[in-house]
Amino acid sequence: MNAIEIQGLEKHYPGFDLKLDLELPQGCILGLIGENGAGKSTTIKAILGMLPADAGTIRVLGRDNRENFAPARAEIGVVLDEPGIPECLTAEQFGRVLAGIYPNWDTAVYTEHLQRLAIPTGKKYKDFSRGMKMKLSIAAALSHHPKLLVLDEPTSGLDPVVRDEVVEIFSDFTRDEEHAVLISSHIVSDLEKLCDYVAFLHRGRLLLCEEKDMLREEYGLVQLSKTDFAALDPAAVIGSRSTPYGVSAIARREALPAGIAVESVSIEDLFVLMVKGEES
Amino acid sequence: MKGLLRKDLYMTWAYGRTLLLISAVFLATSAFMPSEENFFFVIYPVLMGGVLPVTLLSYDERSGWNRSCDALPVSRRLVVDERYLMSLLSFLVLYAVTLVVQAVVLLPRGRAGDLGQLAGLLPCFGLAAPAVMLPITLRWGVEKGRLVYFFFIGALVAAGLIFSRSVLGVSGAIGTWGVAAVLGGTVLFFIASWLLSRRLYEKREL
Repeated sequence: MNAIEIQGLEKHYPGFDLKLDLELPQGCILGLIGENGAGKSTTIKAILGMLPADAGTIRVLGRDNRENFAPARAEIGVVLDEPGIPECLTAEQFGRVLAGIYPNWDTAVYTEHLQRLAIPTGKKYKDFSRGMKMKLSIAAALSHHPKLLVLDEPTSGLDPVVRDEVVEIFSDFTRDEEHAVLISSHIVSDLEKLCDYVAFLHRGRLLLCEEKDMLREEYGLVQLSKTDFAALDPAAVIGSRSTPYGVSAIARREALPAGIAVESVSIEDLFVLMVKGEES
Repeated sequence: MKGLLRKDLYMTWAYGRTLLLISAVFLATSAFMPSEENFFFVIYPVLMGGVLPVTLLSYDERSGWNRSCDALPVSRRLVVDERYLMSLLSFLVLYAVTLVVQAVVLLPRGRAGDLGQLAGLLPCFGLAAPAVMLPITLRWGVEKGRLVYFFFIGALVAAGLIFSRSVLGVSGAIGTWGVAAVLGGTVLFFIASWLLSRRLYEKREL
């Protein structure tokens, strides 16, 4: 079963149109990569039923999110880019509030996450740093035995050590085959470490959605002179950029002539060059 | 619902203490004033009780809680229900305290009837204010709700100056049946506002 199934989703704003089909299989981590304003947060809000879609259907954990979806959110752990926690509350009080909201809230798990992430229990949220706020939001998202995590920029504002720890926590979460994670982030290196699938979103459109390992097998980075680059089959090239030494290009490995040195491509390079290719 | 109420109680303690203190001062002042001149001092605490959830809504909007709450397993309808319940609860607490203070003032003077009139009329002020402000704030945000709040306070002061300087003066003017009719109308208005808010908040895109 798919944890998330998006079919024909459309959301229109003045100057922005989101059109999307996307699937997240259970037991997998899907990374949603896109520039600012690409539609990542809109997609996430639409999935959670926080925004009404203009067209299309979204099924989350087998349920249509237009039909009495609120109780189903008990099975979803959510981290939003702005956590939106009342500023006067302490982490301890926030836990008590959520205990009265989530039927499956587990105070022991929450306390464990607070300790693991070094979150002070008695300090008011308004006195937290940006990173601390995000950590509290992550602790809360994991403390009601969710089956699906939906995370919008969860690692932003975290220092590299904590980011690594948080990535580890998310990774642990998907050891259970019934669990799934949808994560959007600007920090592509985190997604590279974590994700099974990667989806590129650009100006409200999905450029690609594939298994991360397949992407690495399918695409490669080539460094060519301008003359050699011009001789390449344009259909093989996904995106390119000029450098002082020639051209860096992402290309389909199978469509490249023999003898060209092909380097492994990072997800970040793939995304950046793909977007540039799309724009040109 | 329990969690939402708990959150609002924590917030009341954090942000509402000043309001409660002002209400206490007003109540104490009203006890030492002639009952013919204490209109605003008697009305203000119950009004504050009724509109407390609107005050809390402004903090929620600032912290982004109203948006993040949408990702929790609570429906928009439940969010609205909790606001109205909170409004009723905080109104009832301050209503009860106001009546106790006024009972201490009026009963020794043998004015039980006046106390009854007061008991009938106070909810009209305490419930009408949130009934007007909550739908507007929930649908269009705190800024618009605040405008309505200032308008309400202004109208109240004006009403006090024009019609009477005491609540008992108002009840005396409209009589017992008049008080009962206004009270019944206010309760119906509050219920209608509650139902309207559910529909308006469902439509709001946060």
